[in-house]
Amino acid sequence: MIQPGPSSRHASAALVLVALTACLYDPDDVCGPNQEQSELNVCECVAGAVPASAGCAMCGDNEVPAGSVCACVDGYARPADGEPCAALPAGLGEVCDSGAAPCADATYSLCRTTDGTAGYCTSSGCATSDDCPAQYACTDDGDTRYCKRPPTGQGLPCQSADDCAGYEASYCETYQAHVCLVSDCTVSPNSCHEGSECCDLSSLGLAETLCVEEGLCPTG
Amino acid sequence: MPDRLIARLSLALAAVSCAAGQARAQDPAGAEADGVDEAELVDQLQKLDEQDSQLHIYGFADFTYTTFLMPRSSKWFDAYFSRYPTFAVGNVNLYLEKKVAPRWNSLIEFRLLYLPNGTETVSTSTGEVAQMDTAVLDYQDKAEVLHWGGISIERAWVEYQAHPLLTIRAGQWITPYGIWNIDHGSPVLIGIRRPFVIGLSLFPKNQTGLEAYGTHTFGDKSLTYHLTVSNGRGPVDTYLDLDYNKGIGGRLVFEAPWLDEFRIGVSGYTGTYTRRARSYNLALNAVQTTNDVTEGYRELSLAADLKLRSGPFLLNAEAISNQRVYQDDGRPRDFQTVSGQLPDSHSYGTYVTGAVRLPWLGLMPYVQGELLRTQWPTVPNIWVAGTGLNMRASPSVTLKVQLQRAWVPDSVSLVVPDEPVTMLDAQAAWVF
Repeated sequence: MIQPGPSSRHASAALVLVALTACLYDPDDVCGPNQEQSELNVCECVAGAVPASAGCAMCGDNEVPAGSVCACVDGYARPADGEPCAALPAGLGEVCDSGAAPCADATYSLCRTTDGTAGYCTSSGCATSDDCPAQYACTDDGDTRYCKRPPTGQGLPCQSADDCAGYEASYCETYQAHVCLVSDCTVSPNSCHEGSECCDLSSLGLAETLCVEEGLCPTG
Repeated sequence: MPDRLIARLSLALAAVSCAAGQARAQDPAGAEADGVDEAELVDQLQKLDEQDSQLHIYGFADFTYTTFLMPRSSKWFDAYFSRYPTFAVGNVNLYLEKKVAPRWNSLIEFRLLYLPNGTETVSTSTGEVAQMDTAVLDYQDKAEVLHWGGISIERAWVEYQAHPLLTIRAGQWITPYGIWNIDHGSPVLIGIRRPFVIGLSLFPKNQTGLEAYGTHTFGDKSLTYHLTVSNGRGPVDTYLDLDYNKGIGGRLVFEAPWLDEFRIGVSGYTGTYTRRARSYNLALNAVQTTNDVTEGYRELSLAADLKLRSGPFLLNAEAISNQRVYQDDGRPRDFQTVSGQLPDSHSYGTYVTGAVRLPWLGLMPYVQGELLRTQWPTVPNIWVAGTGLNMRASPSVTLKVQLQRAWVPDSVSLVVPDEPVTMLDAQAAWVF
């Protein structure tokens, strides 16, 4: 039996060591732009960012993540799709009372009630949603055509139902996006706000219907 | 046993262990040639040359019985393993080999498959598992249902030996790394199940492109090199490269007669994986084409292997690593966690097999241990310990029985049970 010499052993060990220590992987940078590693060891968007074609993208001023998109904070809206959030016109959406505190603004003079005599100020007489301020949708309530505001709280970040309590979007979606959504909608006819669709999750074993952005319902 | 049959079997075994081209270059008659006169030797060599110019067809197959020794209520049976003990024909591999011209050799290996029959796909929207059924009515006998299967081309290459230091191989070839991937035929493997570190394909199992190799001997030692360039890894890498980056690899093997056998090798591979999705849309009265990357990463695979034999004792060990860095626009979704995307990963692992060849009945008891740090975010570690008995019943038949226990510690997956897996396998593997 022949034994290896020390120089051969050292050369072999060095060869193995060199081969196993070359690097491509950086343990301090394992995710894409604006992502961080979660407790489940996957890459999630950092706070204030939404998924983008390459990693995640930070939401802009007056924007908050709402699922896969950035939504405007209360009091702001996009004048058109893709434009930055801008402050809503004065008077629009202000709290009013149809009896005690009518709307003062001439343009947004309709006090649309949502709870008894309490409501919000908006405009009436629209023909289509193009006549309404951003994100407001022209709706017919039977007597009057008016510009309906998007559900309050929709898209706000949440960790539990408590974070969405008091909003029209009172359901906290805790599976994926962690945002407040409108629940108990109807698929047909679609009872969700314009631009959203009612998603029935019963096929996933969840007895829920939720309003989600059009085209994003996983049960299709 | 006739010499011709012995030569044929040694040829088949050598090919199964992926050394076909080189083994045939060495006289298959081996020591049998000693002690014959020159005329007889010339006659034998002429016969071997005639044999060389013929098409050789041979192969190997294996038959395995598998049972999992966990309680029938184990959650592993709900999502991963069949709770029912099963017989299966695993490999049916055929080799076609021919010396097509002086210095030119060709080898094609097929694996015949029962797949895709029974292949399961999980719907990501409903969670339902659909099982593929390839049953069709036999047109020759309408009363009979047959299940069609598939063929996997394991390798198909031609090579030219330009010099003892340079042979150039072109086609699809098995990636030269480690021990298990090269000696992949079940009759020549000690154990039954591939170690996870091999099964996880930290190196590509095979590649399509060019390979150059050669051996330099100095005294009783030798140094063998392999250099490879290929399409790299991809969804259809056997015939289509979806990026400009070629996969580059290499291997160095040092062999010496220390102990009774000493072989150490190091291997490396780097390349880019690219998966694309193409779509056509009609816009502005013109067809617009998109060809987006849906998954893309750079990878670096490194490995070292050691084979030792001293008397009846044998030790095989491999350590393999893979580093994977995703492109920002090519990071795929993680389907286990639904939300989120896969992080860059550094997977690595090792296995060690120790065996002793007993002087009776060709028996070889063995033990094997494995450690693996995986690329799966939810199953970060796998440990395996096992023992078994390998019996060479004849030069062409190997019988094996193996008991293994696997642990999956530190899992954060909701569907991976926090309990070990125990499996018992028995196998008959043979060359033909």
